[in-house]
Amino acid sequence: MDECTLPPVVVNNLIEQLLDNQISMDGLGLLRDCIDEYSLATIIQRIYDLNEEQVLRVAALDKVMGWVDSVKNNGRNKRFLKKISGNFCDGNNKVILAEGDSWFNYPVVLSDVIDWIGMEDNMAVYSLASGGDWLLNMLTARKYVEELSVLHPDVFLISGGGNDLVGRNRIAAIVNPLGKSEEFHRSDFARALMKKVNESPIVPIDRDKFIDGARYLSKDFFALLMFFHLQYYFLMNGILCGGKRDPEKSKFKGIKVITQGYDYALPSHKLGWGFNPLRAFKPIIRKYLGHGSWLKTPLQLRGINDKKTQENIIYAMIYLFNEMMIYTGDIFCRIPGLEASVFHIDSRGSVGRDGWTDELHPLPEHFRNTARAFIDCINGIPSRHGQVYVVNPKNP
Amino acid sequence: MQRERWLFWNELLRLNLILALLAGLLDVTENFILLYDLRHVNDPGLYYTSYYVSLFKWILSGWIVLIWGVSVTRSGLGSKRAYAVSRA
Repeated sequence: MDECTLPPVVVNNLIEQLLDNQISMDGLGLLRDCIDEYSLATIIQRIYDLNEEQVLRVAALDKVMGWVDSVKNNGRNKRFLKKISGNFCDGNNKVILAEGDSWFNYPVVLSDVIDWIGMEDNMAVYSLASGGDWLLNMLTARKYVEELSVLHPDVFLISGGGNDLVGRNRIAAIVNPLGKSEEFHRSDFARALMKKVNESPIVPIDRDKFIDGARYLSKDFFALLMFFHLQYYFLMNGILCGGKRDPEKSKFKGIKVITQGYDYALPSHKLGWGFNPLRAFKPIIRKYLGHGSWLKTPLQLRGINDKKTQENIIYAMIYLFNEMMIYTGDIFCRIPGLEASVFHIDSRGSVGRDGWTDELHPLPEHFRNTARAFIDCINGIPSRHGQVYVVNPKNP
Repeated sequence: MQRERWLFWNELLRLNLILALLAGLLDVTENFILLYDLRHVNDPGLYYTSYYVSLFKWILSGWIVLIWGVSVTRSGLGSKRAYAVSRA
């Protein structure tokens, strides 16, 4: 892979094109080779119309949330240390480092993906995940870098981007309420992702839902999508290629990087009352932990009140987000020596309409289904879709 | 709960979080009843029994401890077995 040879003015021009959703695939490829922390910071400030200090403040974890997350992580990491004592690191046992958001660390009440993975006898998980965390924070704080160097894990799990997309009413800023957006058709990147879907979809697509949803996506969404792509590329390049786009420069040879891309969340204000006592926590969580504020309220703020339209918008976003993750991983898997390095867990369609605790988080059994796909991937059980492990919604 | 693999038991433990809150509220209620009775100790007509509140509280507490105890025992046995296998 080539080092960046572009002068700064050209890089800035490419960034402008990205922000305007006008960048070509070739241009995006050139920008990828030149991306660094400074460029990423510039892009996100422009997308969010904030300066760097403001962006980091917006992305920062709430203190209470941070404390609750750290309590759960402390417990997990104590168990990790206990597990790896003795001969754990031999044989088929896996040392895993996890960094992510609330799919990897849901405060107290739910058993999230990392909880289920951590229950496996042959897996010891060290968790840095924090519910509510932004991918931007994870990459800026670089806690994962330190722990990678200390633990030299077999596997690195990353779940991020969801809060960057929906935190602080951001969804309201990246939709076009008129439903006449042509930005999808202007986006070379999005069209390239969907061309691959048309040729061989890994997960079935409901075209009517997608097309309807895409009509409401503004250029800021596509800029954000490409920004996520650059962030994940930057992260993977750092881990797999030492930041030098050369696998020989990696300090973590043989490491597996596994990503995940969420499922089609359902905007809702409903509290989910019912008669099942085992679901008694659902209305309590929905009432007090932000349900409705991530998706439904911001969409309504922009005048998008039709329930089906709201769902279609999220459908299109999540579909593209997952395809972006798969595309990003593919770039590395094509590098000789990195063929089995990056995998993606595809939860699209696995949770269903009744499988959500709240707008963004599945019920524990669906977290478990996603975890099972992770577990299969970590254990090296081959997938029918190469680097992509599709979550089976009907795991017993 | 975060170490319980059996989904049904995992969900029971989750339900127990709410039942524990309920038991706590019942305990507070019981205390208020007892305080009221102590304050009106010279007036038998103003006595209210805390028996049923207390009974329900202890049934819930017993249930919670039972479910938790079974889960911890099963997890502990499972860990010992896994540890023994990994050392073998």
